[in-house]
Amino acid sequence: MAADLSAPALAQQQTAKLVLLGEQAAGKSSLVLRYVKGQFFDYQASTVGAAFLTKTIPELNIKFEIWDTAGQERYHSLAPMYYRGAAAAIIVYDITSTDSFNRAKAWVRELQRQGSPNMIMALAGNKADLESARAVATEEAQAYANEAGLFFLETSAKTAANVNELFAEIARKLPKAEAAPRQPQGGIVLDSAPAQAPKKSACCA
Amino acid sequence: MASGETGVFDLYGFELTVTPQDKADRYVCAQYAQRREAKWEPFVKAQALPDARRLKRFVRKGVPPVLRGWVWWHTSGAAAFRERYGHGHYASMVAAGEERPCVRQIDLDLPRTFPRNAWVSSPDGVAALRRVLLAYCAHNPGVGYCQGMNFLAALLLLAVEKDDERCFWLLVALLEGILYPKTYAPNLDGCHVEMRVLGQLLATKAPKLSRHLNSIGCEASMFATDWFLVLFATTLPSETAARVWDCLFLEGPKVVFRVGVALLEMHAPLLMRKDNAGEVLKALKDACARVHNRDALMAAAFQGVGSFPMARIRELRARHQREVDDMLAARAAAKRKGSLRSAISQAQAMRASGTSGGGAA
Ligand SMILES: Nc1nc2c(ncn2[C@@H]2O[C@H](COP(=O)(O)OP(=O)(O)OP(=O)(O)O)[C@@H](O)[C@H]2O)c(=O)[nH]1
Ligand SMILES: [Mg+2]
Repeated sequence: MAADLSAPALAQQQTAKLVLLGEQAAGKSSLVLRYVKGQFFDYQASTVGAAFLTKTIPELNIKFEIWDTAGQERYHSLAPMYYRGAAAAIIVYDITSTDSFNRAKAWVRELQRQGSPNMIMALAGNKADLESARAVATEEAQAYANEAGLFFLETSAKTAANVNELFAEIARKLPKAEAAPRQPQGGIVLDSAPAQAPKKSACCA
Repeated sequence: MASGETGVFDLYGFELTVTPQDKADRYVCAQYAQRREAKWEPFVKAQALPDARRLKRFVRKGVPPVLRGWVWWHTSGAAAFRERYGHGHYASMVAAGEERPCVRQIDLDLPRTFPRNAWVSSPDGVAALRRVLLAYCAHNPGVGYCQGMNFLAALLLLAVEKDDERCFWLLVALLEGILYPKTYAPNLDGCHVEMRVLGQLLATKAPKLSRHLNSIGCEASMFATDWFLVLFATTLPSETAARVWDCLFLEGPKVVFRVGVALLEMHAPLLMRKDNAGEVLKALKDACARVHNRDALMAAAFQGVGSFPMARIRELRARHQREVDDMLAARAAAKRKGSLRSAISQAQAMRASGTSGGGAA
């Protein structure tokens, strides 16, 4: 490997921590895998603990740091460690399961209570390709999302429908300052910010 | 990254991607295993395990894969558990499991357990795994089914020649005899305790790495959940994990701390270069999945990391158990308060809109 000469350019990049939450088998890992690697498996191994993936959107100069968590209720006690400090969350349910939709609502309540105050929250009704087995009506979920102030899309990790759109919309909604708390942008200098913050990678700028 | 030759299958039917170095390591380990197998012969003939002192030494050098079913059965305490509960217990628990609410969760996870392992995903494999998990659910309803048990039971099945009853009793021995209590409990209480203890042990064994991880906000809980819940079955190559289990069944959960610290120390130079917790998790996962030199890992775990007095572990556990209890209690209280608040605001909204909120619990 050659030395990483691209470091100075990356200094301008915003990093956004994003966490996926939702019921066991709702499709969290599948959505991330589809988005980051363009892959899908009919049988995706269940997640124990958490997985971490990254993806950069060059047009918006945003790098997502994605935490994919385990869905079973008893892993709930680990979740705060992952959503703490997150700029965005995707709460996933499976449109063929009302239980998973109720679980999604519980996650929304928890994030509204415990998450960062400006967290962008998206609700994803996944497995939209399984229309014949649908148990949660689009209108019902949309109405709930409006009431709770969430961004809502029905997705399919299998067909890739709305997957890029979901992440892109989150990227657009991210407030710039929120997305890169470690690196004050352009001319904005916060008086409380330590002066050495951008030093690390700005050596040759 | 994961470049190398594919199409190589390990002893338990997992496909590997191996570099020339991995291949060389696997070859050397296999040679050693063959030599060790000869040493066990007299004991197999006599149908009796070596005496306690020799057993520990023998087991640390690796139980021959064909003998795992037999050796684990006795070293883990599984045999004693079956005597205690009786021989019909397993069959009756399998039947009772069908009535348990966790059937649904188990059925969701069956096809999601090592989906690329030919036997585990075959009808026979799925049926055997289902029986074990249902039986455990019925046998211990307080714990029921915890995600992770699926991987644990599947690798156990593979290692004990697919004998599901034997696998069930090994699972019982692990959860009820060997591992820290409540590791799989509804809040994973015990797992939280163990992960914190690991963090403390790391601070004494590898202070520089520990300071680095702390400075980037990377707690042991972020990378060690599967270590304690799946006992490396999804972390290490299966032959390496089984080698860890040889010792775990005989010597207990101290082995998980030893191996955990050894894995962190082995990969310390890599981890020191990572500047956020996610990158640590990813790098460590990738690195652990390629630990094919099981002899080197065991040497690091048992000689490299120094002594691990059980008294110290007990003391750390007691301290962290109190902290975890407090944390879980505080969260439960916050949740109750939160739902009370949302119930009140909901009631107020209903009153304002003129609907009756009567009959609310
Ligand atoms: N038909 C269909 N199946 C899907 C879709 N997304 C996921 N699945 C399947 O649903 C199962 C569960 O998906 P995962 O992505 O593993 O679910 P998860 O939310 O990560 O589950 P946990 O890790 O257990 O919390 C897998 O077998 C997937 O193949 C989808 O959009 N359509
Ligand atoms: Mg998952």
